[in-house]
Amino acid sequence: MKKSRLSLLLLPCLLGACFAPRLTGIPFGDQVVVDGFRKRVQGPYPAAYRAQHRVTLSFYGRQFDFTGYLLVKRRGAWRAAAFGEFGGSLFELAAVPGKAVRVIKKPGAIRKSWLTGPAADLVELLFLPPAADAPVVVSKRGASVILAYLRKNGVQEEFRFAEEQGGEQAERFTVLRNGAAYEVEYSDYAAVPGVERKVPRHIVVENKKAQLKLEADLLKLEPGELPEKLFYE
Amino acid sequence: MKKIFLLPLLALAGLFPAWTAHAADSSVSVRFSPAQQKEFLGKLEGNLKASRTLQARFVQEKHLLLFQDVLTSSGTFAFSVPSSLRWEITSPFHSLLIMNGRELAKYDYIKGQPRRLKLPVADALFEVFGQIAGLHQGKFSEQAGKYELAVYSGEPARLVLVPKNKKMRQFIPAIEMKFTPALDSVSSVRIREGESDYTLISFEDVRLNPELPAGLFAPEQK
Repeated sequence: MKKSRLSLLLLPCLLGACFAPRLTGIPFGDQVVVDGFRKRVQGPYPAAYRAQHRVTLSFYGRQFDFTGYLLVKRRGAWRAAAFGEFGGSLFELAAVPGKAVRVIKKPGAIRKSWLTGPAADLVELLFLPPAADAPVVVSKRGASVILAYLRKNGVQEEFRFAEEQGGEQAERFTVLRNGAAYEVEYSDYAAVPGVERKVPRHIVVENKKAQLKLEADLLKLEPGELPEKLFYE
Repeated sequence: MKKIFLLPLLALAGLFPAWTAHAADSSVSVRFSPAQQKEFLGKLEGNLKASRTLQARFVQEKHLLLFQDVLTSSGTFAFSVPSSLRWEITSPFHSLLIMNGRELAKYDYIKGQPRRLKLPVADALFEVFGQIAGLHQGKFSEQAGKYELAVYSGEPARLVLVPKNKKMRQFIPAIEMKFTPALDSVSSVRIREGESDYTLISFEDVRLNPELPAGLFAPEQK
């Protein structure tokens, strides 16, 4: 009986351990610096919005360009569609919290595993950052400060920033997710009506190991309420 | 009686305008008989073939019914017989597609400078471009293997192409083409997708047989 009570007492600790991100360097405690980096992880995007980008995806030396249409509703609901030169659908994906990413349309030969894997990872990495109150473990390795988050699907996501950031126009950092390293660069910031912070109009993400590079130029960003049904239909 | 109750629901769902537009279309549109269709297509083919070159502006609207949104782009289009085509989007982004005989080139623009893309699916794009070139020359018999053709009356008449391939029909149920009243060029193309979405490409300022600048269809752009 005592043993089972002890187990019950330990259960929250065990669960806490399971749902906390892992430390990946020396603990780092400069709260001002950490707050600054957390704000940057949050990004400038509002809680719900529609966005349209022109995207060029390079994969093993081949390029594939399309217009991307994105709906996002935090926390965790999104829908992304890609359209070709003459308006035809290339693919459409949707995700809601607690459910796997769904492929809604895939008329061409693009592999489903690629869409639900790297393509969905890129959408979440760029447009659905961890929540402001998400548990984070901050550490330091060399000249980098690492913010480690644990997504609800169990994926550990690490944002690596150079501790000393120059006064550059572009913002660079690295994200480790699902065993892949993505180098992210945001630049060409501009004000958008209804959005508090300036938004990057040019985004470059590169996974050198997978020879994958995404370049996205913002065409339109509209903050506003989005009906739930858009993510389920 | 049930239909009366359904009407407000359709209106609330935002479907009413689309439904009434479709109904209005159908009420004035009658499918041509095989003999009328043959005569119409023959005349159209003769007129379209008379243009050795063509240049126009286009506006492309992608209508997304579920998202209640329209994505608009615009640019210029040029064609020269037998198979040179240039499709340049200038707004809201810049991209260029060129077909010159058997060569196909696609560019995007980085800070105003063209970058030639290495295409992973050049063959598919080449086929689409080939079909566009063929349709602008009135080569409808070439399409008859892949599409069921039907002409509907109206001002102007419209040509509807329905893919014969069942899988393709699932994604593109029909392509509708409208022509100028003189039947000498295409005025719009509507590509239906699924049950509701569609892309409408409207051509404006169409110039027939213009003298086109040398190098317009050169696959190497500087």
